[in-house]
Amino acid sequence: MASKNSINKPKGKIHAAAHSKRLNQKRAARAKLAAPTRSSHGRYNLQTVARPTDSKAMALYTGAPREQSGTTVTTSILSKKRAKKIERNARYIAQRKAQLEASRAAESGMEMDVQTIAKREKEVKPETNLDKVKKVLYRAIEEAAKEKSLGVAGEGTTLGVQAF
Amino acid sequence: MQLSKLAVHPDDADILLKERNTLDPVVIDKYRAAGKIAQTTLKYIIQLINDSYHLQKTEQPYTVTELCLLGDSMLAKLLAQSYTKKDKVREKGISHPVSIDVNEYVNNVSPELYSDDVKTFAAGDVVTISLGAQIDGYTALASHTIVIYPPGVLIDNELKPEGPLLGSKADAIVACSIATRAVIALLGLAVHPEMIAWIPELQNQSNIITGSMIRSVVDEIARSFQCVVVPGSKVRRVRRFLAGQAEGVVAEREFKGVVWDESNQEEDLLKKGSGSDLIVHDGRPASSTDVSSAVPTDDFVVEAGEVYNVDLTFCGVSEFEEQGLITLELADEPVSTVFIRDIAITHALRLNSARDLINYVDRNCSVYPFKLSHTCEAFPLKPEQDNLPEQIAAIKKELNARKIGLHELTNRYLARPKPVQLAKHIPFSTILSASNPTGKHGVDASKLTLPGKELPLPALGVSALKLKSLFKFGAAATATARESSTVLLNSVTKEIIKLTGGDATARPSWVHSKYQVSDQVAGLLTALSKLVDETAEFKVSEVQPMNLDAGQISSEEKMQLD
Repeated sequence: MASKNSINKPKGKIHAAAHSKRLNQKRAARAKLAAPTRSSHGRYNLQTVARPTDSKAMALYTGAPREQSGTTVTTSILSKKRAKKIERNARYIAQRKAQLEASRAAESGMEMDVQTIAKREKEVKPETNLDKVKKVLYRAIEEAAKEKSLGVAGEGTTLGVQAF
Repeated sequence: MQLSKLAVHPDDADILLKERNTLDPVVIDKYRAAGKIAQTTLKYIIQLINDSYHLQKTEQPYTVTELCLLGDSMLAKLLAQSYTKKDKVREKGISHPVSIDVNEYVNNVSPELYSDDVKTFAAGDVVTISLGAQIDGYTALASHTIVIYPPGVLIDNELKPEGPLLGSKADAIVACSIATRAVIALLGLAVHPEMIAWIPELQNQSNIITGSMIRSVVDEIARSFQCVVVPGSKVRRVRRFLAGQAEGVVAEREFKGVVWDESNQEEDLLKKGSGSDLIVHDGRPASSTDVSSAVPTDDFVVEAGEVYNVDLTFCGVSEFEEQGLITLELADEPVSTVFIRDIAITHALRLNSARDLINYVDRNCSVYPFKLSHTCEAFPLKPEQDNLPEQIAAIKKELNARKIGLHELTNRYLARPKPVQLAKHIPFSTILSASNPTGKHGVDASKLTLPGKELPLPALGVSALKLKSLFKFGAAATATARESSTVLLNSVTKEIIKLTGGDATARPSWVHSKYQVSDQVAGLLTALSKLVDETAEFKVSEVQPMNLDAGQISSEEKMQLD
């Protein structure tokens, strides 16, 4: 191998090696200091750094403030978007709860709220004129079929004479 | 192709449309002559059919093609004999070539010699003969339906049919005959308005005969015989050169008449099943199309001094289990052989034969339909000469050359074929359940219809094109019966002249229907027939056919009309 003072020593190679060694050292030192990640230490280890998907919100809404704590002042800020989302979720939860209750009531044979049934019925399109026409025509066809089954009365009609 | 507009000075238009249509003796004579020719030919063809099918006087029965050709020849021969002076009458001719429609076929079956099929009739067939003649544009049209019976029996040394025709075919014939009589009597009341008050059923009207009255009477008769009035039926006013021959090609201004089409059947059914707040189509055209007097409506009053053509086609529907729509399908077989010149179109033709043909047609056929055989030099046939097969062969040979010319004419729309149509029954349930995504916007451009009648089922929004696609679900009707009669209402002599039709020429065949007229119209019909038969002032006369002596007209009967 060429010496350190050689004219054609592999300068770039040596430099790269030294550089990467230094970086490795830095990384190792940093790793020693940082908290472990959830993925490297098992999912139940809670002493890890937060995952990227974890909420970074300043505060989480957990229902209306309790009576005694209602007076307390909080410094946590709620974004507009998040507030909307929280409200929406709450509405869904209430809806789901009502549905569950209704189905539970139906199973137990108890009477249901009429309003809820009406709400659940599919909305019907308004009848167009064509629909009306078709309905009337169907009815007329049925009536005509009934009329046809009736027999004929009378002697009938004869035309012409017995001649070619 | 170039569309031309005919510029007519208002004064000339007045002369052509008003003055020439007043029924003075000269005009009435021309009408009568046209009627006489039509009646004679009708009688001649009936006689030919009787001779060859019922009385077996010929070796083999006449085919439809031969009957048409012989009939046309007779028309041409009689026309040549009448009004021979050129200064009196410049134009005369066949206003409708003889067409013979069997059973479900409704119109324009008039095969040429080049078609190979040798169609003859079978026992039980219902045969409609239609024809017409015009003298100076004064037109008489005739149609009559007869029955082909099985071999007859000898009664009193005479061959007679064994029994009447029964079934829905008979229903149609009976209904059509009764309706035609009733309509003619109603039209006649326009000449005698004072007699309208005599009939209690008509009294609520203000002593006029309107289109809607005619329609209601005809519809009620059809209903009582389990029949449907076939689309295309009409009770319409006839004027000089305007007899409905170019329907769908040229729109006729100031059209006056009752027209039946598919929308009337729909309307009837809607009325039957109504009871809701549904707005039923009132038969009036949409306001957008109402600008033209060419759109037929029932809001008209029949006036004395007019000529009417009563052309009714009935179809029995008692054999169909389901309620359905009776409509007309364009038949593939036989091909159209009757053509009408579209005078609005001019075009420089390439073929010599086409140029010859258009020259001939413009000179001789004017605005009336023609057949290719009419243009042949061997036409008309002379049956009295012995060489009939040679004459027919000569026409056949000539036809082949002229066919090419006709082809160019039709390709350039200089001549339009008159459609061969057959009556078809499509169940309403099929129409109702069919999807119709295009709605009423699909227009069938090839169908010749009266203006305002383009949409067959307006309430359902089913277009003619959609209806065409539903034909495959339908069945051909058993038979149609057609009676056409041209009636002249003479206001001066207070006379009703039947130019065509009537019992002397077009006697109804022996048929029996198990139905009879319903109570709603029975009273009216009795009153009308009483008026015609027993009232002396109510004069109805028929134009009598000339005496046919074995297919020839005897010399003293030769027309001395001019």
